[in-house]
Amino acid sequence: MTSVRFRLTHLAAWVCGRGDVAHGQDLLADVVELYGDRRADRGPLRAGARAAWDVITLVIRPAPPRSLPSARSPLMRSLTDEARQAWRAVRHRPLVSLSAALMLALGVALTLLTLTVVDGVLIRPLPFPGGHRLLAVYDEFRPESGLTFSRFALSWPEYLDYERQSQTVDLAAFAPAGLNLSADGTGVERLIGARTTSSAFALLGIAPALGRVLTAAEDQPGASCVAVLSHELWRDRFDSAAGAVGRTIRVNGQACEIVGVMPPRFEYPDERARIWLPLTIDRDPNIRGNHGIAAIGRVRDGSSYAAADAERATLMTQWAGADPHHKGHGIVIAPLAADLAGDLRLPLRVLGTAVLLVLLIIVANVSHLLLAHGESRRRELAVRQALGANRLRLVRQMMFEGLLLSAGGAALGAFVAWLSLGPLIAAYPGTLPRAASIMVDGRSIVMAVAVCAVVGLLVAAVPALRLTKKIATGTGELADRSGHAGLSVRTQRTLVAVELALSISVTVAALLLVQSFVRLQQTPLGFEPSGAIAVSVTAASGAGTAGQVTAFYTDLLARVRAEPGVGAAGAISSVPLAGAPPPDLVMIDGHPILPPSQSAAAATADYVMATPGVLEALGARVVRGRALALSDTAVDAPVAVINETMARLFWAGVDPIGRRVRYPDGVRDDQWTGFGPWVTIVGIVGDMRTIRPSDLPRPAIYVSHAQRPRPPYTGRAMGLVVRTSADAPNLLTSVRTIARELDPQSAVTLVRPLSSFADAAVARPRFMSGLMAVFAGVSLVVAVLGVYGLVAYAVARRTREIGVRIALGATRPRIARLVGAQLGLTVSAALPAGLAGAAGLSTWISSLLFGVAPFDAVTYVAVAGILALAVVAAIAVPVRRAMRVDPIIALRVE
Amino acid sequence: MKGAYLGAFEELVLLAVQALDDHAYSASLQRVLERETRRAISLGAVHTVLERLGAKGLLTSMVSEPINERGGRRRRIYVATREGRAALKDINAVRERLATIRMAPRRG
Repeated sequence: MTSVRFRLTHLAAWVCGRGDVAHGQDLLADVVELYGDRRADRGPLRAGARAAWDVITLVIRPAPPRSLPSARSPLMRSLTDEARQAWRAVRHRPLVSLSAALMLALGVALTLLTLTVVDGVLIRPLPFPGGHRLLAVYDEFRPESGLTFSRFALSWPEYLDYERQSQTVDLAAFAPAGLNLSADGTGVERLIGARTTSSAFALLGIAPALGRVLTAAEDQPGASCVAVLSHELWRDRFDSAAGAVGRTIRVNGQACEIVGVMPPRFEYPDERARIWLPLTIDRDPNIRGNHGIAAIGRVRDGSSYAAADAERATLMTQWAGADPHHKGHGIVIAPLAADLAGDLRLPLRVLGTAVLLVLLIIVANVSHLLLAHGESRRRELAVRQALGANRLRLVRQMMFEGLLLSAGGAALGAFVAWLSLGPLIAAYPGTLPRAASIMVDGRSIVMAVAVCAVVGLLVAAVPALRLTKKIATGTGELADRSGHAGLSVRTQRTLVAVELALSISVTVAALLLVQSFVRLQQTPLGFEPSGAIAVSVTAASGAGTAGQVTAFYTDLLARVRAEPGVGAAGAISSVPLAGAPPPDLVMIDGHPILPPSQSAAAATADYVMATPGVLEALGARVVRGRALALSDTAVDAPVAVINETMARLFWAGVDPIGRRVRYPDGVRDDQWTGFGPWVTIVGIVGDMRTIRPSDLPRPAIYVSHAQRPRPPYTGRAMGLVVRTSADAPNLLTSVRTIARELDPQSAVTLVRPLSSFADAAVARPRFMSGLMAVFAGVSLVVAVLGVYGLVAYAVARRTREIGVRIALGATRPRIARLVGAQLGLTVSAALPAGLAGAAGLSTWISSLLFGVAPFDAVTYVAVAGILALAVVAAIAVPVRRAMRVDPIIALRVE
Repeated sequence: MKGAYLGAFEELVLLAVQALDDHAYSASLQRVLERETRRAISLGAVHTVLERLGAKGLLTSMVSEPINERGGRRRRIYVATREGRAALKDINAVRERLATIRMAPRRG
């Protein structure tokens, strides 16, 4: 019985409490309490009836509505109301909303993409603690020194003096190096690494992941060889084994002990470095003119960059006073982050600016679209205002609409940007500095949200203020049927004029850059990149004597030439466009011998070692005389071929063939210690563009690799240039096989078509002009859409007026003129503004232009013409519609 | 008048909650409302309104500990929130303003 009663009360409690038994029991207890009260007054029967009624009303009581207007925050409530209404308004006109959101998506995608790259390369801090304090340290030669180099390597005495004298900067020196690595008898691998002073690790503030870093003792001459590995090398070559530390590897044939492993992303001096070896400090004070080391620095805590630079300037003044060598020549420093971005700073800033202009055009267009559409909402807005909505509320609601549209657009745009970031970076054929810093992360999300918010507010601001103003000022016509242009039409025209002007500016800049790129590609390189392949070869180091190196290359080339499909083959120390050849001081027979401190200005020429056959393989043109031949061996008198620029600069009006040059041997106390053998010029070769196609050729000497009249250059690492019909991987395999047979310690890597160097050399202009062309295209299309919308709207609005005019006898051309007249005003305002903007933008980018002037009249006229044509095409449809207005139908509409 | 709109019965319940202070549970509310309005009020009606007021954020409730006296069982006590008290104050102010307007001399 008890159990049944218990179950019944439990059930009753469950029902009364709507599933909450405890609450139901409380309610039933209330019923019982009230029953007790009433029974005393009215007797058990009536009290029981009331209790039953209470229970029934409890059971059937309605649940509170899910969302009652909450009293929590009136502002919040009204904001949610407005948001809901905004969503309704957005949904109510799907076509307008969709086109607005899509346009915004395009703008946001382009903006985010560009800003992510700009952020990664220019803005993000370096991946080192306190990275903003890091410095790039260079030598500079100002024109009064006789040379002009803004970034030059330091010499040891300069480095050591600066290190000792500076109170504000810590220094580390390094020399990037290509190294041949072998471990445990496995094959030789060619690596990029750096020799560095031990101070670099503390200076960069990164501790090793394993083992230790280099020590100061290892900077001293005679220290045994040790190596620190990058995380990548340790992972790939040593399978991330902890036991790798302590093992011995051979670097360039020398045994070195692995002492440590750095953590991932230790990008020093750049992201390619895989191994670090000690750089021996040379304390010989007489090598001040021997510039061979690179350096970085860190501004000490408690000091600032400005203070460090001021101190450096003072020191350099002292140096110049004490030593004639430092006249117009000394150390300069720059923040490392800015230095790494290098000459990419301007292009990226230009791209960033251009993309913001495109975004602005899109914002103006969407704004114009909403405004035009808003005209038809005027009645709705007036009614809502009559019902008590104040202007702030209406403005707020329209802001919400803008934010909703931009949120939709931004979500889609961010997604597209995220998808296309990888391909975009991959499409950049050169190496983008700090490419590893270009990524999508929290910063990108903040950026996307910020862009979205700003765009949303901008898009809605003009329509919101414009449309609600008329009502607020009380002129409040509910429907504008008079045919007069509404107030907002003038605003619409202004917006379209802004769009046109901005798009003219962007298009002119883009067209100038595209022309530069085309000119650059058409620049004669002086050699024929297509059909040739370059292979990087390093002969055995260590024991190999000069004769062995020469023999190695002679045999290698002879056997490569015998391979099927190979036309011509040769080796050269600097493959054109793959890396700049070293400029070197050269003494010309018959010219006075100047002391070292003054002679730098005398004659500098690129020093290039070449084997017979390489000029043919490159497709270079021998202008006069002969090329290098197999008969020019080490025992014969040294010979060289020079380029046309060298002939013109140093032997103006004289035949250089048969003339002689030689190289100084060393310097001591501002005197040459000796000279190399005389080198006789036997031929002149056409100028080749060696650094970038846009750089003017420098004087160059091509000496015979077999003779090598300049002893410091060992000629071990050479670029094989092979003119061949065979494809690259096969060639690599056969060259590698031959090289191994000739010299098991040799390394063969990096096979690339010669044309890829040429492509990489124009990669930046191509990337830049390509992106700018996309921006210009988008800006033109959007601006022209704006024009179309403006005219189509005007025609639709004035249908009745046009009908009346036609009925009164206006001819069709007259109607076309009528419709076009207002547009003429818009365009004629936009054109000068746009061209002025273009002139400003072009001046800014003038250093990026090649072969085209920033004020190239043809370009400006062409852009104006393109725009005029596009505008005519855009208005053709609405104007035709206007001309065909049937007066009967137009009037019947009323 | 800003804030939530109060129905007449809602206002009465809210007033009763405020009046009963920390003795405001449903049975006591029903008793005081029935006594003061001299109308039969069902417990279900009281609860409907209590729940609505809760949903509007005008009152909140808590479960009391059982106390050692007759009927000292565990109870759900209702308390007016800050918004609830403000709503009552608002509605009172409106009443007073309206009364003043009615008593002012008419123009024209």
